[in-house]
Amino acid sequence: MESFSITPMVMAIPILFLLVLIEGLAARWKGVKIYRFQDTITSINTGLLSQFFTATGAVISVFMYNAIETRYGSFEWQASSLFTWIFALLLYDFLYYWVHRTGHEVNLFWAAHITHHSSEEFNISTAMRQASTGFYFKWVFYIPLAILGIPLQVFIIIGLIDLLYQVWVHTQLVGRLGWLELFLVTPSNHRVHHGQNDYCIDRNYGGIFSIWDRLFGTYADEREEEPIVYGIRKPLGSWNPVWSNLHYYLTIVEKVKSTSLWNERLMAVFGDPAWTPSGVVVEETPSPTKETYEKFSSSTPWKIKFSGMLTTFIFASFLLFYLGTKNQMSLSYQMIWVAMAVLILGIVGSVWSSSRYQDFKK
Amino acid sequence: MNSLAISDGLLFLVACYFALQVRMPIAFRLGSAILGAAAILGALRFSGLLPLPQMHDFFSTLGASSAFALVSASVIWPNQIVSLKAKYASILFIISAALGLIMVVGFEFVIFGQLMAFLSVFLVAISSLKNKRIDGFLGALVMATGFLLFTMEYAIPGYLQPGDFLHIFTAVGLVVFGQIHFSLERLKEEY
Repeated sequence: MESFSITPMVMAIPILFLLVLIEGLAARWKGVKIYRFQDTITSINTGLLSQFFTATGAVISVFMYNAIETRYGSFEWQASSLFTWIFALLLYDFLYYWVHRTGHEVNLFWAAHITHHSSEEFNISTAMRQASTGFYFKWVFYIPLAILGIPLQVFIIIGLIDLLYQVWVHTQLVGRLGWLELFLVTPSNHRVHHGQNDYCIDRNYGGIFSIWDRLFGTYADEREEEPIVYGIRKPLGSWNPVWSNLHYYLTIVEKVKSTSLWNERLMAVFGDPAWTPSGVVVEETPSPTKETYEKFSSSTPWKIKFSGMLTTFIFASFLLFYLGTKNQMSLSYQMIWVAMAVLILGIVGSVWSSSRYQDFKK
Repeated sequence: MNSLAISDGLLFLVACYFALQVRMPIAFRLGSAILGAAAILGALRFSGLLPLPQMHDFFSTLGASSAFALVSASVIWPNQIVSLKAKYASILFIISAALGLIMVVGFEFVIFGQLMAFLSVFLVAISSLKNKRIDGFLGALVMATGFLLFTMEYAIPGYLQPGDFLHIFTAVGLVVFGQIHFSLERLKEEY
């Protein structure tokens, strides 16, 4: 008889759904429109898909962390000591800053992280829109914690704290928070991070603390006179969670193909996302404004709404079952589950996006 | 105090000197800094002053897989961004470190670091021959000799241990490569 394990993520998923619901109701009560049906469903489905990947991918991170800590861990830390937790949190958050910054400033890693920024809305569901392909490189950045000997359990819990803290900052319903803005990541300064206005690009990478941004010159305050336009400069233009995870990898492949010089090919992979091969002229995109920016949208007849709700509900149930029983599955069985998840969401996403195409034809 | 502490101390001084040279390519400085960190931890370990053997082993692994790659990249491509920009030198560092750790820790392929280090100086030797740079070839040869003596566990009983050869030859190799960068810097100034 298989037993179901209640992991932290199993507990977190229903809470995240509840938070989306509460924020949606609060927004309606305040009379502000911050949710759009298809964007929300796409964000949630992208998040659910990412959990299929990271639940398996996290094993690699945990394995590497544990192996490095066991082999090279140099100091003893008591998990019962408050100092251990404060020190580990500060160091983790500092390293997170660099993981996040690399995710924005190196093309290959941006290809993974772009998924999180592909929503043109900014709400709690955007926090759920996480990448499925980022897990393969992040562990490297946290090696200093392992070398110092921070126990694996502390590392995992601190990682979860850092991740879950970042959920609540994805909201437009909370304004500026006074002196807390000086050292914490808040909804206000995280809105800047998700903006595509000129002043928002490559700003505010912090996870819990904004002090790293202030220290390394990447901090920007929200400007009331310049309302933020959310999303990415080259819009995703799709409701497909699988495509949102893959599209930028194809952009990199196109960039690599467009040049025959080896150093330029390397730049296409590891250079700045704004980098283009020599001879390719790219038109400067002007900073968007709230008044002129046109969001990707499509009509939402009842069929779309019903299929969206149903897919998300079924998919969330599958995910909870998967997370709760994954440890009893063989790796090949887990990979079948992940492949099924990609297939189902890929099909649903392309059906949704083709409805946009039909709108366009009409 | 044993010979390893002294030779590690010597390597630390040389590596530290180059790591602090602001006009040197950043890849060379970063590589020197990693070697310097491994060396000071070795000096502290072997002198018994502050033994942190795991940390020394870690930085030695990192030095083998990443530091030599960085130093070599700076000699082979002194004017490319991988040598000159901190961002790209860091990317090379992170990727080579990840690869090294996956092989050494994940797959228990412990000689991977030595292979990487050897491959790095071998590429310097090839590139120097191609560009007719005798100094680059000599630097690579000195470093490769150090690796070889260390791998063969060559020792002079009572005087030098295998690790001493690695430290001394690496320090000499760094000096030769450092001179190449100084001469390139002078050339830039002249033109």
